[in-house]
Amino acid sequence: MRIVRNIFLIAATAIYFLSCTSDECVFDTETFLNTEVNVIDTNLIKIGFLDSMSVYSPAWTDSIHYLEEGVSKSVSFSLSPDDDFTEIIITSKHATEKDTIIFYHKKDMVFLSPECGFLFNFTIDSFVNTGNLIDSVDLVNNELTTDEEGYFKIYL
Amino acid sequence: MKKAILKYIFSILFLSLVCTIARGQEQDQNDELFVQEEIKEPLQLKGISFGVNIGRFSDYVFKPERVSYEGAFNINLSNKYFGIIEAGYATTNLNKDNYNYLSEGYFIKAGMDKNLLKKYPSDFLGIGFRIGNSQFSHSASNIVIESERWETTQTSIENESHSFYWLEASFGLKGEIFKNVYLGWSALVKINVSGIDKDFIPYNIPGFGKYSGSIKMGVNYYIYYQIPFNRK
Repeated sequence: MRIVRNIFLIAATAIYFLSCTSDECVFDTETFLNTEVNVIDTNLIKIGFLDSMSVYSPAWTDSIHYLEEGVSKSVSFSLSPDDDFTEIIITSKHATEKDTIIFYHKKDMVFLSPECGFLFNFTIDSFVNTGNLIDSVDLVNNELTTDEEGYFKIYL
Repeated sequence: MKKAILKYIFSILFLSLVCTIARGQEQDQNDELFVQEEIKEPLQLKGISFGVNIGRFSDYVFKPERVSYEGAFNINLSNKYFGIIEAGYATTNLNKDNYNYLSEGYFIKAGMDKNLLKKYPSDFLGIGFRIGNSQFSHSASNIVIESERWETTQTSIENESHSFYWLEASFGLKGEIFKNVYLGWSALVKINVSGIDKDFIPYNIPGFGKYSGSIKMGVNYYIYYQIPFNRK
């Protein structure tokens, strides 16, 4: 019986140490709105609108270039944690006009994990946009969480 | 995700093991019915024990942000059933680069253990069940949320109080290492039954431990001193 007990004691000790968890954050610590840009206008297709497309906000210090960060006609960006709206401008190097989309949203601060800390989840309540290049838009998913990106479709 | 799946698999395996042992014991009892009629003796008070969870002291080395104490009181009925009350206190002071977290609270667990051993009645190999409640409060300060493109946000969360309930199943061993002094461990499966505030998940729930999902595995190491009664 004592041998069995000793074996179990050793096994339990091993389990205890194995149960120690990693201290590294393995999740995204920012939530994103995935924006799909569908270019249907033949004039915009001719000038290679998508390949030279840039997306930016007046509050940013840089732009998102489709060629560098875009995947499958889509670019992803986060919403403003400081305001209840986010202004996004879409343009292209070869286009003479640009469009502005303003997303109105609310945010919730959530504790992602002890390793990662806190982040903001967003819910988009509404939006407005100019129609210089944009033909139509569709907000497919208005919830931005770490489990699921928001999803917005633009047709040009 | 992978870790969560592994936890569920281990939980199922553990419960299967417990059920197998319990059914085996039941089978043995059934077999004995055909050999000889078992004479049932009334349950007798064999002792009361006071214990300390010595596993908690490992926090000083492995989890320095946490300080916790846990003690137990149990009533030994015929070395077969043990009525148990466990209680403790825990604080967490976690200082990370992107937040500081503070929590403090108490917990109490009540339940019973059943000894499956017949041959060595002073030792224990058995299963147990507990219901636990934790009363705790927590807060966070110096929260820094960085963004790839937006300005960094700094904020804090005021102190929040919570009550948390869980169920606990255990499988463990306990042996008398000196006269009336017992050392033992138990493997635990804890199941959250009261829900949790997902916006501000506690880092450490007193008694339940680090919250990483509704089901949690754990190990307890206890040393007991038993005041014996009616010892032959």
